[in-house]
Amino acid sequence: MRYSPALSRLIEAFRRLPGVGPKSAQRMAFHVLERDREGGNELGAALTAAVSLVGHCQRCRMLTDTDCCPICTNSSRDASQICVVESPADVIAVEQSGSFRGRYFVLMGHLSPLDGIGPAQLGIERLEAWLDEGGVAELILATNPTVEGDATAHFLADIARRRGVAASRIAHGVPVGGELEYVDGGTLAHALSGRHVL
Amino acid sequence: MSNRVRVQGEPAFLLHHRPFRDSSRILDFYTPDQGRITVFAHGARGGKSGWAALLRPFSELLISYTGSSDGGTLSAAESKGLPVNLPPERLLSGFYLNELLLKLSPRADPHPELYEIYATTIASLASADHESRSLRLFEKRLLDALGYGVDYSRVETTGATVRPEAYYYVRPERGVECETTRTGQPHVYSGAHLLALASEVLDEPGCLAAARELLAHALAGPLEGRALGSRAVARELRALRNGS
Repeated sequence: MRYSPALSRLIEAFRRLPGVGPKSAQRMAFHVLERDREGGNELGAALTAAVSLVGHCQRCRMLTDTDCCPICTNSSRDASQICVVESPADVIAVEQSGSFRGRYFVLMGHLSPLDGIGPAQLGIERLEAWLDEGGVAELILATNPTVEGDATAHFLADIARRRGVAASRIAHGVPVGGELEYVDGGTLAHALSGRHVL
Repeated sequence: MSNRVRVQGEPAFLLHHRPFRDSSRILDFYTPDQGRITVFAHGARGGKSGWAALLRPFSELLISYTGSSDGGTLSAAESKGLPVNLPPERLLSGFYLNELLLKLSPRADPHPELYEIYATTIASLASADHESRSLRLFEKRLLDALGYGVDYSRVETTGATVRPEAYYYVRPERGVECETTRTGQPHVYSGAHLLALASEVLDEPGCLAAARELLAHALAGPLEGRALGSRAVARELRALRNGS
């Protein structure tokens, strides 16, 4: 079955999205054309606007369509704590936990020497400049608990310590509600080494 | 075309991984009996598969996969022995070893002795052993195992034994070429340092520095102009540390 050129283009465009295979892309395209042409126009306009307007926050590198993101401009947030994460999705995840009221710095990746990703690609100069301004007491390193995330956290902790800023790493271990029996040895070893006194 | 194979319970070290589509990964492993292979791991990025915690570099695994001789699809993975956690300050050295193996070992060409050399080096990096010494020994043994090794204890042209008190001109791809009095020149090394490298006794800082330079030149040939990302990142990090 061959689609018309415009329909093919739409299906191919939907397939660029993560998690969308050929069948889902076809369903989306038919839905827009058969049932929701107005929604389709809105989708097209929103995509065009977002792609041209959304950039990175000058301070924390979070995605935003203003110079500074709403978190960086919010004066009620604790400016003495910066939580360093790998991606904008991680900022949302930490925000949804409701347990952090400080600011963020988004690396947009992690150190990956084999792929040639080093400090320059992670915007480390910007983070250093932020720490040099003063007023930051703690850098919370919330990079992923992977080997690359650990390497990134290690060198960021070094940068913080040289400036007299405390560096802490988020805890890794047994998931809440989990059972020890089903936790792998590596995770359990982390959980044991990171135990705290009650 | 390569035959379809089913490999079960093969010891392996993960060298590199990259994301593929939403939840999968492409993994490069080094194994003793299959050499360097590339496999797909479906669902390896999600927490549910349990593979995310397991598929980490530097820990020895037992993997099963189906596919061709140089890779395929991962069907099972489990930890072989206790997981190894390199100290964070040595992770870059670990990445360097992995990059050397990725760039220098041919795909699907088994070198069981090279696997042993890698495993020994990882164990020594995870212990309190001297870091630079472990790296230099790995570089030398890797070059030897891949057929690029040279005998640093003999003069290539005459067959004479290298004397510790003399100085020699060394061409990385040919070996020790001739004795010279022009010390301090490029590619000129002390006989004592060459003998130390030949016998793999790298205890003195002077020996280590000479070995580092000599082996970097020796690696440049097989690397054929390809830059090492891990070396570049290590340099950048050093510059950052010294600048701040």
